[in-house]
Amino acid sequence: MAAVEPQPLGGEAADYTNLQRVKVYRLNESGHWDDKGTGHVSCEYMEQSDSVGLVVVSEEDQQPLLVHRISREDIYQRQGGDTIITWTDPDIHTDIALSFQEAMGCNYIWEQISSVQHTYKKSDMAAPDDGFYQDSGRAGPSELPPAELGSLAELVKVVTECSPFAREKIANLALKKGYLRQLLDLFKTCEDLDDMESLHMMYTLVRGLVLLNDANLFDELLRDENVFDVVGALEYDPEYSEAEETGGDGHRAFLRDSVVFKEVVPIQDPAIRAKIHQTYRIGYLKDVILPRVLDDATFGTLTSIMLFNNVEVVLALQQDPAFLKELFNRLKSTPRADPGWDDLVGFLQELCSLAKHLQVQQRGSLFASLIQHGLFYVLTDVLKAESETSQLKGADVLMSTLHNDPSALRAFLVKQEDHALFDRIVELFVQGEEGLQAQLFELLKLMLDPETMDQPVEKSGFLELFYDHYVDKLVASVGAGATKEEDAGTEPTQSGLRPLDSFVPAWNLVKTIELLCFCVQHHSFRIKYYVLRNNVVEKVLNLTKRREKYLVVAAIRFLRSCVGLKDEFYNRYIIKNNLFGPVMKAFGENGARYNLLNSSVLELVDFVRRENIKGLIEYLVVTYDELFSGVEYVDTFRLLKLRYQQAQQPKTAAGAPGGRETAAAAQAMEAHRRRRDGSMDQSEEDYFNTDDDDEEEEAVGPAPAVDDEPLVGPSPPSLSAQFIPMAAEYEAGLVGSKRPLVDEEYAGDDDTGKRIKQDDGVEEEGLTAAQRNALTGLNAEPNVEVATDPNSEGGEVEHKPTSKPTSNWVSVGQEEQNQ
Amino acid sequence: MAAAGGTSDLDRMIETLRRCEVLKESEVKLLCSKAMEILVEESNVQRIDSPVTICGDIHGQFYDLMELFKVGGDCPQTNYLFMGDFVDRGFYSVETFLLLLALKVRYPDRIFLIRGNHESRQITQVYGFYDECLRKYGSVNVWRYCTDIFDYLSLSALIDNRILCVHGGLSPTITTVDQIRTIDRKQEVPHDGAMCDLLWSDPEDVTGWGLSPRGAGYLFGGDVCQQFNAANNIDLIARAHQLVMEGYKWMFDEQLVTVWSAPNYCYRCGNVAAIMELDENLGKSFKVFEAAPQEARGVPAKKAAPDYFL
Repeated sequence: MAAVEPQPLGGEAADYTNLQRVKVYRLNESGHWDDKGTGHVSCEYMEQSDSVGLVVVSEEDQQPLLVHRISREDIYQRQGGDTIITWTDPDIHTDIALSFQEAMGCNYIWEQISSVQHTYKKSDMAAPDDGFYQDSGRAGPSELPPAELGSLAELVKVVTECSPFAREKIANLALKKGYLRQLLDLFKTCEDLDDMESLHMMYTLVRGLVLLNDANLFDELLRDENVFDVVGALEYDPEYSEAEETGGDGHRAFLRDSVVFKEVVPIQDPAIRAKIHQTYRIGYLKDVILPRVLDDATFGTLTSIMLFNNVEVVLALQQDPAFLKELFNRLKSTPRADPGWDDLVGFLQELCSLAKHLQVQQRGSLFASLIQHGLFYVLTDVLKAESETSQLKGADVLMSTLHNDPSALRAFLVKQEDHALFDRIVELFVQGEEGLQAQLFELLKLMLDPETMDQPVEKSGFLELFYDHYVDKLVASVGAGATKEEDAGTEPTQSGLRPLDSFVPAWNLVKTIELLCFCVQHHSFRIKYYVLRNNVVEKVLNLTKRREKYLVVAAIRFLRSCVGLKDEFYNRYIIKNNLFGPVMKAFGENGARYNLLNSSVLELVDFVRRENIKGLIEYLVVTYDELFSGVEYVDTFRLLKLRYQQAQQPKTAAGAPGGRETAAAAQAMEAHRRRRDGSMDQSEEDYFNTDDDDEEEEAVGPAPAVDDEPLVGPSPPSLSAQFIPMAAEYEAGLVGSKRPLVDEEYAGDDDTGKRIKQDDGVEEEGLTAAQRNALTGLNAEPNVEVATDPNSEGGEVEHKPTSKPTSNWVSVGQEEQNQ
Repeated sequence: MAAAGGTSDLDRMIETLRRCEVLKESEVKLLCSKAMEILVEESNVQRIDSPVTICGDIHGQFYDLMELFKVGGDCPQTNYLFMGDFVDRGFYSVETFLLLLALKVRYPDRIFLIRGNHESRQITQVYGFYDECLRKYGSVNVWRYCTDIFDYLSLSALIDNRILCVHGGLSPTITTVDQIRTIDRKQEVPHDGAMCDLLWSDPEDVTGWGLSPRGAGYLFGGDVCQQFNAANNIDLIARAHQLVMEGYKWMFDEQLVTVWSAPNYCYRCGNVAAIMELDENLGKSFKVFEAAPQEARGVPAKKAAPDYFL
């Protein structure tokens, strides 16, 4: 027997690994010990054989030198002064020896072997593979204590204290034939005996089983024959005092007696019905019984089971050729007054809302067949209902179709001969209740969004219809808003709608203005033409006379939207009609009060200066100098005036000609800029060229001087080249010396931000870990996260979703978009 | 004070909400329209006089908010400033936000609410408030009314011209408190820019500015904080936005303090919560409190809708 060379210890760290360092010897036929190599020994749970064994992994190539299942027989001996363990392996009928570097290591493994053998003896001798290996927390038990009253406490311990690695195993054990049933029968016995202590244990046990987070086990727990006992056990939360446990208000009673499954159209397949029930129960378990108890992982599993169930159900209904047909037959034939009609609409709403979880193609084909069955005609009818509840449901279904594919609804609105649906949508938007109007606001925005249109704005037949017929109604409402006096008598008519000629409430006007802002921002010259011809800005700004300050602010925002386009057409129109007039009047009347009105006007003026909109700067400074000079609490107006003066200086210095030519030059420059940007393309020019000139002439009034210049004329490059930079330098120098000023144009947050970030050496890699935290929000083990570094404050780190707000369309994948 | 004829209505609503019961949808509508008229008159930087008690994130933990009032004194006997994040995460965002809003409408000069990053349409759709509204009302109307109100909430507060209170922190585009004035705050919280940063940034042991792992706002160092305070002649920045296990945490030589008022955050973080009381001389004292028993144990959650089709 060869001795193992003692090796010098490399300090304390090496100490530990050396404990496990062994040489493996095997006795050959000639009676000599063959050296099979040196490695590290450990005692492991071996999955395949469901037993515990000794494993030696070679220190050279990490390959196993020895795998030995620990025998229940007393075959192990110690030799060589406490550093060698030998045995005759019954599987290979050969003698094996492990020679340890350290006596302590040898002792440790010896104890492990004894402990495993001890467990074998304790367990049922007839089942040699069932061992209970105490030292390996990873492994978990190989069997559960019997489902008996006496072992309930032990069972609770095993289930609730198991390591994450053992969860699957315990779940599998619980799934063994009849075991769960035995447990639930035990629960019934406890309940019969009124054994509160055991019932509390039952609660903890069932809760523990749920938290094992095992899909197969969930399936079993939620089965029809089991679910009531499971839910029953969960009624015995030991932390609830008796007083709160009101009689008859238990979960079982609720599920059995209060819940009504409304089957508006018979569902033939019992499996699908069972899925529907199961899904409801999971939702109940998740949201009502255990919301505080569930960790994120289990919560997620339950959510996805519901999701998959829903998808399965929706697909099954879709594929049933008779089902949708029957649904629509009933929708069309049931009178609105019939109580069944509400349920049919409710079903339709749920179906469409669940459809959002389908894959794109499946969803597309579902909506296609709904539309084929006459969905939009049905919805026309639904929206005509008088109750706001029904109207909301109809709007909700319309939203679902828009999220699937906006073009289908647009096509229908254009195609429908009497345009009844479009009429009704706009009618309800203008005259309907507040909540409905807000819903329709989202709906109209989605419909009117050119980003989801196949055709460009100027070719869209849908937008043409909107601008021919419906935008008038919006503007008329704005007009009425400024003229109709508030009187106590205006109540909704019998149809639930506000009469058109009555006082228009402020909340209604705010949403209308917001919709018009959206149009200004997205429909370029279509709305521009409309606004210029119909004096829409004036009409909106008339609302600044209204008492409600938030409406005044909304009206100012409309002007801001127009100014925000930096379009000379708007600017000239604004200047010519002195459209800042009402805004400045409101601003002046507001005085120095620092409120939203004050801030939004300051922002508007600041925007004009920041963007260097010359025509407006001149107009504002010349027209409102007196008002501005009185405002000293901010430097907004002082800076604006400075901008104006700078713009004057280079020209006078160069002996530039006077006013009219200056304006012309600015106009030419603007035209040059626009051509360079390509912001006015051929189609836009065509649009304006083909329009009736007289009409525009009439609407805008006598053209101001600048209109004498050609719209797109040759630009004087020398002027445009030197003009802006000079002004910019001048201001930066002058202002910079006075006070620290962050001007977005020169010290924009983007650039400085990025530069500083790099200087700080904040690395991308550092970000990914944090982002991971952020994505999961609080992950499955928030305590671990908090405990490791209480100062990390990681629990609250959450990522700002970068996707656009999606109204009520939140898919489960939302958090993925955070990246 | 509240509009004529409204006070008794309001008191009734407050009583309902104090019992953690939801208001009717029509009441929410009424409350929100009144709140809008009050909030539109507030400034981006609300001027507040001491004494006042400053609170951090609440996150829908209604019973813990009750505990907070127990510890800090009831409104209107105590003046309050809440620094945002009233909703999401907890189980009672609706009741929590509406109670604070009702108190605001009833006692506009006694309680101040400024906006947190969770007071946003987008965030509430991910972190719970949207779902809660849908669950409790069956439609998204209440969510719409509330999120419309969020747009009117003030962005910050300045106490006796010495303490700046903001939900998140500083912005590289804001060097003076006056610059906050020219923000048109009536909008969804943007993805970048000054308004976004005020609601999203965090103090950190960096020099200058750093990239925020949150994906919005910035990290700012002690030097930035020091410069800002000196330039604006203020003593302290009080903010919330980050969980601190002890309820509050000083940073940067006591030039900044984080106040966190949601104990046992998300019902499992195990932290304590704090409020910061400022007396007439801006003397600071912290009151630390633990989760209310009802919040930790939970009264039975509202039953699910009893009807279903699918």
